[in-house]
Amino acid sequence: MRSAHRPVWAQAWVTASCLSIGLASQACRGDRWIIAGDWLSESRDAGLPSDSDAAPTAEVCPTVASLDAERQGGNPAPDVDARFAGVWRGNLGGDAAAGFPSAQIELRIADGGIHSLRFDAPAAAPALEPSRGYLCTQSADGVRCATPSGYVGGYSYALEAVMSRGDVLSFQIVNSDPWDGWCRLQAAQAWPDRTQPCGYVFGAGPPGSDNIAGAAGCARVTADGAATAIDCEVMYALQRCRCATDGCVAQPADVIEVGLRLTDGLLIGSLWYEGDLDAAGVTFARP
Amino acid sequence: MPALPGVRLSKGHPIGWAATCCAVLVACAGDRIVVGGERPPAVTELGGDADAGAGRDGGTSSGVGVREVCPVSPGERLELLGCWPTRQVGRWQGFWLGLPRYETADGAGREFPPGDVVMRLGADGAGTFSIGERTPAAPSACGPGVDAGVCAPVGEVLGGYVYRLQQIRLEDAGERGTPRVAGEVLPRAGELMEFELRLGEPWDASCNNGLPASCQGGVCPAARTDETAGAAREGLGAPAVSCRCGVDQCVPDAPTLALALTMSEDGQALRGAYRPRDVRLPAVGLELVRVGGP
Repeated sequence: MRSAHRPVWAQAWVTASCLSIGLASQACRGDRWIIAGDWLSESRDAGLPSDSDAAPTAEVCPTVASLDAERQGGNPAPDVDARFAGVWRGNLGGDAAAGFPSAQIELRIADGGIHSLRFDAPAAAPALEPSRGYLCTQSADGVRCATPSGYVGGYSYALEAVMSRGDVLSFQIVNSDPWDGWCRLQAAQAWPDRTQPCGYVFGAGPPGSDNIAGAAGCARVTADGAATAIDCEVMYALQRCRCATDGCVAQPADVIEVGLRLTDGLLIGSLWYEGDLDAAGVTFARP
Repeated sequence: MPALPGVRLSKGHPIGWAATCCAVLVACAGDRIVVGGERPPAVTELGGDADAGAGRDGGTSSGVGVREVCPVSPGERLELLGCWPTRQVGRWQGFWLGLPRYETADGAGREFPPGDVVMRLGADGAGTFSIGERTPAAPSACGPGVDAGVCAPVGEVLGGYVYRLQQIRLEDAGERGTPRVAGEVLPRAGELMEFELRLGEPWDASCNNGLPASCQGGVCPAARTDETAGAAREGLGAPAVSCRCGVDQCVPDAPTLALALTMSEDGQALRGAYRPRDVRLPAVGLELVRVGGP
């Protein structure tokens, strides 16, 4: 399980993502991600100048381009029956609908090559400022990113793993995708880690595992207990990023899987919150 | 733990519950505890009493349970006011997500039969699970009298067959899971239901029609298990069924499927996954909605 003392923050959020009740584990098969490995290497390596001073070897370490290619390569081509193709308008029902950005949803399946899902909410995205938290807000109750469901209103999510089987349409949404533009503005840092093929892990901000202590704020804490304060909203937003030698992208492991059944010309199913914490029934019809 | 005056809490004692939880967890993990050698499994472990924990201590006593610490097995919950029925009791219908495949005995994967998934958990704590419809073209369980060309090998998921839920484990809603950030409050998740399907169940007649002694080295003579296989030819292509034998029963040696389902707050939807034991294989999502009462 995830430890409060896990020293390498970049892996900590990968681990947390992979242990979630959702189906994110499917995405965590890359051999560069150690899910339950030894994360003590940071502290061990800290005193090894030969390692610490060495530059990451570009031919082994991931780059933003290789992360993009890896994600694209891992996303199979859509395989959808023609009955599902086109534009659908959906409505959420029940109490859990309040946790979504809006009760109205637009779904596009194989619509001119576009597969997308968008909540009909105001689309004015905040300005992208790399030094300020993005889509995450701190309050007396803690820090919340997006809505309780995890979805961001007005953002057009690109669908992945789109397929149909009989009357069932399935697809996946990477719920960190709205942070992709912000993540790409972050300056990546390399931290020695012998468990990695290239000898480093990559992240943004101070090294260490993420911690929040109520009014005391947030900090990154290293294995030896050294804490560096960090803005809570930035810290939470950075959890939506995955970094490489030359930059960061949206964390692709945070996946919400959706299934809808075609019944009497309607697409019917449930939309679940990230982490499968709750669900609202949804019915889509042709506009 | 709060106690009510004059109410016997023999089954509600946290230590007892903890012990039961551990026993069930071990059973769900699929590993046996072996102390000083191989322990022959009991009938409940092989044959699949739906109540994983029922009767393990020789019987249960009436009492009142506190929801937060109710035992995990339906059998023990039945004995405790406040712990039963859970909201999973009822009839559920839904579908697999994506391209659903399961792990077979030879390590290969096979696609689940097409069609709806139907799950039922009864007020008696027993449950069933079926996938798709049983059609005339669907394969039956192989056995004497069943043409090998039209029957399924042991351990294949049979469309429309009503499997019993095994090793049921019920956990009430509460704070669990993993926070993204150390120091955060754990997220509150809905009721959790875990169970197993024993894929050898359709071939049970090949093993437990006879006593274990009748099986030679764990291989029992196959028997016809499906009366609907009308054009069957006696003895044609009927493979022997490999059985696992305990002290009082033999069951076909076939894989089990482990599933875990979380409930939405309104109690109308279940969602979870079948996770193959081979971690290299992807989990298969499953969604169900309530379609009826018990």
